[in-house]
Amino acid sequence: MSLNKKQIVEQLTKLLNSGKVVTDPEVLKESSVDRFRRFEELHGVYTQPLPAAVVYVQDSSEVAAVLKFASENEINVVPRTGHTATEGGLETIVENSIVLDGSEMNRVTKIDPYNMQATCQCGTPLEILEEQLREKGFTTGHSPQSKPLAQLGGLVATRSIGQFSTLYGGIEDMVVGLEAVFPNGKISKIKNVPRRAAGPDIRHVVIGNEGALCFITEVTVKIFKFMPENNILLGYTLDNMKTGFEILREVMVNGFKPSVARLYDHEDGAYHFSHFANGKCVLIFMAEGPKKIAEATAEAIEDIVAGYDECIKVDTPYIKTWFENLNWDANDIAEEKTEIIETKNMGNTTEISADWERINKIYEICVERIRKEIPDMTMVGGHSSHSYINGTNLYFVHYYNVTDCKPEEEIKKYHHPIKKIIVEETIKAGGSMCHHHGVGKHRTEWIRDEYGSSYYILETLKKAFDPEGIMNRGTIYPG
Amino acid sequence: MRILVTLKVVPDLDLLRDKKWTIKNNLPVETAYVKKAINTYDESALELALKMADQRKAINLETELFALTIGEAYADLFLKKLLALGFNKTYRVNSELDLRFNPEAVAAIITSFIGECGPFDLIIMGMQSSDGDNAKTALLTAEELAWPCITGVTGFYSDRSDQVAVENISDQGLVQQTIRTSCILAVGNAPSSLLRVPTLKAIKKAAEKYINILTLEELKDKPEDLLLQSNTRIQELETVDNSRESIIIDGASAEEKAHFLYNNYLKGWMSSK
Amino acid sequence: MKCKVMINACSPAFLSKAEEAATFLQTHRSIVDSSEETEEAVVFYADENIKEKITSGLPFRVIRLVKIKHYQPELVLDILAELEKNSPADIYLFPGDFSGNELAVRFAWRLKGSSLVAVEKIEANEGKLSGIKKVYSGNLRGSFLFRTKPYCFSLAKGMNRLDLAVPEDQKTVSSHDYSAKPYDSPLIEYQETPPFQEEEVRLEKANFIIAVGRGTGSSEEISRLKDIARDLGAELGVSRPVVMNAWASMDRLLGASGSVASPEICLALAVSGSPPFYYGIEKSNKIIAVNHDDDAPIIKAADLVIIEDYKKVIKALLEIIREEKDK
Repeated sequence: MSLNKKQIVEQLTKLLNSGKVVTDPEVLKESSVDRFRRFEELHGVYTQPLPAAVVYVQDSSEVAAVLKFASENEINVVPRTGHTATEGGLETIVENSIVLDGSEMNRVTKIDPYNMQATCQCGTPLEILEEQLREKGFTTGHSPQSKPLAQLGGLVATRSIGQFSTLYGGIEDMVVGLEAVFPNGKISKIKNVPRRAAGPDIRHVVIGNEGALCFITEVTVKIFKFMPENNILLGYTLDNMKTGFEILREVMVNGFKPSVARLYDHEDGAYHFSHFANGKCVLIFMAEGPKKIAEATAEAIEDIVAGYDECIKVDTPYIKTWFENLNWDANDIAEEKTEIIETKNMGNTTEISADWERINKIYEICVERIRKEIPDMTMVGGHSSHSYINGTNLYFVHYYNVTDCKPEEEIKKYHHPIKKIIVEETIKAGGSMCHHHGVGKHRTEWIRDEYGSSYYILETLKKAFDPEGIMNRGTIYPG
Repeated sequence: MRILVTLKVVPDLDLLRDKKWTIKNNLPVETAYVKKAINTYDESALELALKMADQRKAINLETELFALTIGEAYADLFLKKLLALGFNKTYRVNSELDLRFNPEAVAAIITSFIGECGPFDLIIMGMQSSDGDNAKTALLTAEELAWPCITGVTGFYSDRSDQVAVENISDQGLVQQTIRTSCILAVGNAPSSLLRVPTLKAIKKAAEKYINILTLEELKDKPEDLLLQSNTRIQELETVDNSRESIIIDGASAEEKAHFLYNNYLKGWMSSK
Repeated sequence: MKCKVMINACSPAFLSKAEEAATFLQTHRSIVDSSEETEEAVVFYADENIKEKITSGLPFRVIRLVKIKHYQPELVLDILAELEKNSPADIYLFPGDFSGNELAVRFAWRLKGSSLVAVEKIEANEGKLSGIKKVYSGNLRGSFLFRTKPYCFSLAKGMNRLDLAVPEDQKTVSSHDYSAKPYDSPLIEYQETPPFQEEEVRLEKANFIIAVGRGTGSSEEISRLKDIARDLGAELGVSRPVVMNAWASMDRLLGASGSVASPEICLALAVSGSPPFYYGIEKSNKIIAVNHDDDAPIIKAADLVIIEDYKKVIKALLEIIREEKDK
């Protein structure tokens, strides 16, 4: 028996103790999308079915009650915290969904410097946790561009990664334990231990589930000593991406872990570094950590780069100022709105990963094909920002002038065909189509290609944990 | 119709918003390390000129758009963009001179340029630049040329080359006037005037076009005299300190903070006024 | 030095501009070595009906009335240059409005003097005069030496205004009529829409200002805030992006390119407070900043700070005030 919107709202209100049920029409509209549909949204166009309500929960028992209720009544639930998702993961594709928002569960419950762990609720903004840690001389080491706005629950649910990952790792390397609630109302707490081999690592069922399997209510992360005084920033211009990838590889393969290792192509470079890198690629490194390690890392990088004639060193102040302005803030988001509406120039990103052998080929073919096949392109380029011993990522940036096209058709005319090229070329070459933004709803059509025979494992998780299919329909798993 | 738009490429001061500035030799050191951008009023001037060219094209009228800047190679990136957007010719007068606070020299260079590469029916300039803030260049150029000049311009249009309809803000209010060309329009706060973005195809096509680079010697007999041209001389630059007490009102919720603010401060202030 | 103040009485705000100029002269009288008896106001006007207002209201002892056909900068410049070229003053002071800024520069050129726009104060230095003004979009202050006389400058916006009324019997008024001067005007058509048509916005006069920025997000929100401001007895001012998005009219613009206000209280909501904007509210007695970004420049430049979503704070404030009223 399916409930109507009024009934859903009534029942939800009864279920909660101190949580809130919001049905304000503007809030519902805003809650039906995330940044993937921002072009439509900026123009006041909302194409997705509206949710029945946004529920702001206060604790895990309220989460359990809502999920149980949703399971029993086959209501789609979209888990949410910071609302900064970029791949459609937060779109309510089913009418009268419940948007389950954990942003009011925002307490930092424990900072434990002796055991180097910090525990907080899912709605804790990363920036708040980071500030509190820094006051004590520690850091999470996690710094995604959305840091000023993103919250821990979502950051774990999307397997996010930050600017210093080459040293600290992605969120999956930082999570110690967590608590998650499942659609049947079961609250599961995974304890905090440094490591164990007591069966498969079940944390990885939760980390990256994008709300398709459970709702994360609490997270414990490792913390690190904060020693910014030892940071050494290095920048270089060079002529080719191929050379840049080789340098990145050499740094990683020889055992060095700068926190930042970035390679920008000339197009993406022109956008950020036009004042010193006209028509060139740019390499940026940051050596971080205990003084001697930072110094040794910086020295080694300088040596490696010196082996390539085309690299020219850039004065540090150029890079420093740029770096300080990298993260989003509310001002930037508002400015972006005006620019998009006035100039009709719209941009987005697609992040992939591949091994060293294939990465440059993927870069070249994608850029070539996008330029040729997609109309009205104003910029296509990219950068590598997360390196591993066995490969790296590539973050494609693509901008176009939305021409003769209604806001709600922008994705079909431009964004989707661009993603299709990048995803198909990457998977063909053996890379991964999603490095760190999550599958969301807009890369699900390629999920089986992404997994091949291992899709069996992924789909069985869904069958096991969400048999009713109420958790964020259309995310990761095709709707 | 021949339209010249002058522009200045300046450091993007938005990127230094939260930084403390250090001054050395009357130069804020940090501005050398940030990305550059087209001065915001000049950007409006450029976009308005393009909009007018579009409107004229729609009624089969040709418009020739020219852009001029004074500076070094860092400006070429922006001039190339203008060529891709449809500007017929772009010019850069190569100069290493510090003209930040020397609008007299800038006006003299522009005037010579007009003599060399003109004639132009309309000259559009931004009212002032975000670094020098002199707000004099358009006015001085008008005096040098003995042309009329309208400031506070927010829009303009013409379907003939001997006059132009202008919208501007003045002390008397909003003005709509039609004025004889040739004249200078100094653009102020014009809404909806962010510069459009060229497509890759347009950029590729414009790669065949080149930027005309002129030297100061070509325009002025004694370029060294330009430094002496300014009728004021910068003596000192210092930082502005706006800091106040900055007492942070804490509380468990917005409501609590609002209560505190009202009861402890606002109530008293509002009743005393 | 001989000082003259050039007043454009075709502008509706001319009296307050004259007061600013008189106050400036009073503050700097010793620096420029001048006296009230010798300072002259040159007032150009077109409408006979305001002559009375000029002679009675202008806070100057020596007034020279110059009748013109209408305000058109080239016309006024021709007339002023003719009037002054034979025995120019040492200093010409212009108000910091559109006409003042353009005339100061162009007039100096005609008389081969030096000019500065938006001067906050002047200083004497070994017999020479310097003007101090904001540069780099309000981030810095620069001091500039005037090289040649006459020294012509326009005042910065929002300068202090004292009541320096001069009784009419102590005034000396002379008149010149240039209204019939033959002039080859470049104008073909001219139409004015007087300012403040729909609602009178007087940021410079407001005692309580609510200043908002881009963070408000839409023209509907600005409309809502306008109503809230009115209910609270405040005037709504906005930052440049708000005006450039056409969410509010230009007369609500606060900042270097808009109005400079000096209210008792300024409640700054969702505005980052960058220097060009801050310039418009820096003279406020008390600044309360409500912003959810604790890195915004306005936080350090405010007296009181609340780090919150401004909507929640405003909602709460309105409720508190409503409750108070009902008591």
